[in-house]
Order: sequence, then C-alpha cells, then structure tokens
Amino acid sequence: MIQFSQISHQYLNGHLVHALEKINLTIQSGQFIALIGPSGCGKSTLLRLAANLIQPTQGQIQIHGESPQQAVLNKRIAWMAQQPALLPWLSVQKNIELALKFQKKPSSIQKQTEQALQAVRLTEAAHQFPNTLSGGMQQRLALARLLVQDADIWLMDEPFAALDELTRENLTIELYNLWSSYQPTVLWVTHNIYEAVKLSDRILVFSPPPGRIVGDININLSQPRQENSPEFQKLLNQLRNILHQDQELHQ
Amino acid sequence: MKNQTIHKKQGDLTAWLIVLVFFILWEFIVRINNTPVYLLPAPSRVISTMIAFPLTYAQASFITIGEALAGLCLGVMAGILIASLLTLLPGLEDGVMTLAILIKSTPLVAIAPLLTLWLGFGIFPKIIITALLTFFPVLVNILSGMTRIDPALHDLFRSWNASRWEIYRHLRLPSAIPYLFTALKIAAPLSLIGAVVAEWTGASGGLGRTMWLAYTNLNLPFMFAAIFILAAAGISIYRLISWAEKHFVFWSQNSILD
Repeated sequence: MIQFSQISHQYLNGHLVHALEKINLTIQSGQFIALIGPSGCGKSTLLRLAANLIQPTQGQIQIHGESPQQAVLNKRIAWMAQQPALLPWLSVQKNIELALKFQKKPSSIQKQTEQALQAVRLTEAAHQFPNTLSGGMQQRLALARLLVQDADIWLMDEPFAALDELTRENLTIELYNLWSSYQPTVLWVTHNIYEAVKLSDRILVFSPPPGRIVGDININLSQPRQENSPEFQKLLNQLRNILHQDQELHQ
Repeated sequence: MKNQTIHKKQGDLTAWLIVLVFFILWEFIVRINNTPVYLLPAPSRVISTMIAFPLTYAQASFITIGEALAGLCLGVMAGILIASLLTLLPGLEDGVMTLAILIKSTPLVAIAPLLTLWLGFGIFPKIIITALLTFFPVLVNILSGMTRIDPALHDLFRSWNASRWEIYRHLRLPSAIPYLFTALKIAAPLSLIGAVVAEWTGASGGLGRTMWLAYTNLNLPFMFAAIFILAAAGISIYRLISWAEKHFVFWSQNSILD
C-alpha cells in the first residue's frame, strides 16, 4: 500500500512554483493507477516524490509502511521515464545486466536477462547497442530493465509519450500484459484519457497547478475493454467533463 | 552512411589539394623572385635538406615526439584524476580550478627556463612543461563530461540507490569519454608546441633544439625541415585521435530513430 498524507510541494524555477497542494491518497497493492491532468499539474512531481528523487515540502509518504528512502533502499521501486535512459556504451544485454547488478542478486543474472529480453521480444537484439534500436525498441528495453528489478511498485512517468501513435498503442498493450503477469502496483502518468480508461483500475485526475486531485474514478469494467461499449464511452465523457470543468474554473 | 564516406573522401582530397597548391605557389614565388635562402627557402630545398640528413631528423623527431606523447599522457592522466576528484568532491572545485587557471595563465616561456635550470637538459623538464600545457583542456573537458550527464540517467541511477562512486564509475566516467577525445584533439597539437618550446630553452636533442641551432646559423632550410616534420606529426596524431574516437565513441555516431 502507498499512502500520501497531506503532501504539498513547492520549488523554485525563477519564481516559486506550487506543484502540489495537500494530496491525500491511498493506493492498494497490485492496482494499475493512471494519473492524468493538464501539463504542470504535478503528476510527475508526485511520482518523483514516491521514487525519493525529491523530498516533499510538507506531508508524508508511506510505502508498505516505509519511507520512500527506505523503499528505494529495499528495492521496492522501479522507475521509468519518458526517455528510455539507456546507457549508449552498453549493449542491450549489458544494459539489463547493469540493472541486475544494482539489485545485488548476482546469482542468476544471465537467466534473468534472457527472460526479460524474451518478455519484451528483444532476444535477437541482445548484442546490439541502443543507438541501433528504434524508439519503440528502446522503450521495450527500458521495460525489460524495469522487469528485472523485481520491484513491487512501478513508477512510470509518461513512458511512451515520445513515440508515434501505433508504437505507443502496441507498447501500452505490452505494458498491460506485463502488469497482468507480474502484478505490481503501477503509477502511470499519461496524457491519454483513452489509454487510461482502457487499462487502469483507477484514474486520478489532477487540477491545473497547484495540483490537487479533483477526480478519483474506480473502473470496474472487465478486460479486454470494448472501446465502443456505452460504459467505456461514459467513463471517457466523465473524465472529459472533470478536466474541462476544472480548467474553466481555473480560467 | 555511404554518402558521408564519399563526402569525407572529397573533403580529404580538397584539403590535400589546397596544401599542394600552397606549396606550388610558394615554390613558384621563391623561384620567380629569387628570394635568398636565408629569408625563405623553396619547399623543394627544404625537402632535399630533409632527405640529406635522414638520421639527424629521425633522431630529433623521436626525441621530440616522445617527449610530447609522454607529456600528453601525463597531462591527460592529471586532467582525468583532478576532474574525477572534483566530481566526487564538488566542494573542492572552486579552489582547485583557481589553481589550475593560475598554472594555465602563467606563460610557458617563463616556466620553461626555470624547469631546465632546476631539472637539467634531459627530457624530464620537457615532459613536465608539456603536461602543464595539456592538462588544462583535458581537465575542463572531462569535468564538463562528468557533470553534464543526462538527467534521465541520473534519475535512473538514483532510483537504483546507486552510491556517488557507483554513479561515477558507471555513468559519469563513460559519459566523459566523448569529451576526452575533444580534449585530446586540442591537447595533442599543444603537446608538440610544449615539447619544442621547452627544447628551445635548452636541450641536448630534439626538433626544437635542431630549429634553434638552425636559426642561430640562419640555416633556414634546416629549420623549415623541422617545421615540416612537426606539422606532419601534428596532423598524424590528430588523425589517429579522430580514428580512435570513431571506434571508441561509436554511440554518438548516427542513430536509428523512429
């Protein structure tokens, strides 16, 4: 379980930016959560706080009863950003192996690497270098690296935003399949409400800055979800209404 | 890729043609004007001097290029070590960089005679002078490479709870490799200058010493022959570094993107 209690965050960027304001949130283990909202609403900030990359100005975060720092130390968290963040001087295989070395489990590095590459269909590219891979393959490699970390929580900050629509759609399905197999808790920042409804158990809608949660929707539709079904469309409209209403309120 | 190779070959050919035209013009002007040899010898005269004394030039080149490369290695090692130290202990940066700028700003011609006075006419002071001249561009470039790392990669390592040393070893050090080659391209020609200037202040051998002796005797063909060899050595070392860069920094070449 992840618990955010009274989380506020401010930072200096030429002027004082109020990124998040009094966020109270409980996330159950094994849920696939989508975080949506306008640009600069603090979605990514919330993820960075959970990953212990930044510290909150106010409030407390508990991850399975531990602080984010302790959770990172105990290898509970795996991080994936918009850029695949691959080491260009290492081959596909070595990129995975390095992630495994940091897990301090040196025993089955080769086997785990093979399994992860197989899971993301990159076995044939194992000895290639990242600069020879397409954008989609680079993100699949980043996904494989996420898998080998064997973490309970996947923090994903718009991981497929820089890709073309078709590649993004395919990778989103792959991500969902991987989540189904591994059952981690996923916090997934996205701008795409359609993808959010298609995959998530729960959608958190953020207001324009300072970010507050203005919508918290549980999705009880069974998978695979039919995009043309009235329930799917109803959820899409509900999300659009929340986003537009809040935007108008801020304007 | 094929187009790039063709463009590169065309570029090389153009460069050699410009050099050739320059030498032909030089030869032509000297011959037409009957320029005295003690003012400007024709290139053909310089080359025939070089051919007449092959052993003298081979020995002198061996000494100078040896000093330059040894000094370059020392300068590169010092630059990498200091940059690493400043990356791992950023609090030291202001103090150490001030000292480095002080060394860099002190004129080489002022230090060189002092080192020769203290350390003698052997190769040791030449290596030290060359190292002093070359370590600064290496330090500045490597420090940039180690500090300007990809923020996304830094976040990733922090999410792995990597220590400062682990981030240095797996991220900062490899990230600095392209910067090292940039530094080497600047420092390698400087190393030849350093070795020659050091030899001018007193040496028992080397191209700098040869040039100095030729200059004092107004034997300009002898002096220009040494200059030609230094220029050829400079170009060769630069080319060698560029070749090595292509092989070792393969990831910053062309990438395939969607």
